Amino acid sequence: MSETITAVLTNGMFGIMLSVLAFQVGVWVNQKWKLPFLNPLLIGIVLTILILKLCRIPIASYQVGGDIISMFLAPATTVLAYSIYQQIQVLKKYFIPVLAGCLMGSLTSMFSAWGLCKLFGLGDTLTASMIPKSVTTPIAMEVSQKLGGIPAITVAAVLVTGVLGAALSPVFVKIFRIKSSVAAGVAIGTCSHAAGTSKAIEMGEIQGAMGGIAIGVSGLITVIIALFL
Amino acid sequence: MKILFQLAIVFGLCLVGQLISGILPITIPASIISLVLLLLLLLVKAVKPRQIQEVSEFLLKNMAFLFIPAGVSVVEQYTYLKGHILILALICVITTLLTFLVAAFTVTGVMRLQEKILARRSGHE
Repeated sequence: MSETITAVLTNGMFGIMLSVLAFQVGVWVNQKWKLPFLNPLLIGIVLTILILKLCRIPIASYQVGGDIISMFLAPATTVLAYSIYQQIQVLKKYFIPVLAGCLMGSLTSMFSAWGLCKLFGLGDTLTASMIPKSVTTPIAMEVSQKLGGIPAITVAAVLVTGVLGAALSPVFVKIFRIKSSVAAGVAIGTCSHAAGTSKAIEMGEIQGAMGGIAIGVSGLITVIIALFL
Repeated sequence: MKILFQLAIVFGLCLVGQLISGILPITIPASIISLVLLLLLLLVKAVKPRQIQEVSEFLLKNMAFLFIPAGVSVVEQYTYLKGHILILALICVITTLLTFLVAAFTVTGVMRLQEKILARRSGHE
């Protein structure tokens, strides 16, 4: 009996099904209460972790299916080119502002992370792990390693930042009255990479496309700045 | 069949991106390379938007969902984070806010500057 259960739980379909259901609950809760920090992604993640812990299901079993979902992150990032292409006229018109926003945003992210880590008296290893946390995971891990950080911490910080961006960016847009969709998209992509951009896509086509641009440009800028650190 | 073919195009680009990323001497993630590659192919009309439309729209619309397993795996890093969780989370919140503000206001500021310069230039003509 227990062998059968293990076989079922390590079937890739289990992880996929659990993720879909948890995310759906998130969508439902989000529509019902409309609170920004109750976003579907955050609820989906927390709910999945709770179910796994409560049922004592090893995370490794879940990740058999989880890895299949994660495999689609690369294609999803790639097709951001499709939404950028749809907005190519906007990009041409605002190329310099977009570039400037990515540059200043990336500098702010890296130096504020460094400054705050120092302020709170965190060690060099933790600081180095936090500096690249606003960019896409592969770049962040590489930069973290180069600066002497622990990539595992960086991965966690990257994800937390991404989920925060997805949850808080609509609030920021409202509070600080960001009327330009281009500015909103660039800001979301720069501060919280693809996870934040998933929210930008929901906000509008221009926001999504500019988020996509910002992921790539800020990533490259971060690599270049890290060369001088 | 249409959707399968669209998937094959996108997957093919991802694999080429991975290949190039492995060969390049500096770290540029495979997915960023394939993004640039796809954008170039669209711009030179080697790939037409309708050849990837359904798959692209599906992936973009469901992008948030795709991050769930990655988020769940943060639990596995718990041993590294123990004892610092609150401070690290606080740092994430503050830097995210600062980065958002600086990026957003830089874009709007430079936009205004650009418009002013363009207006002045057309005024001289």
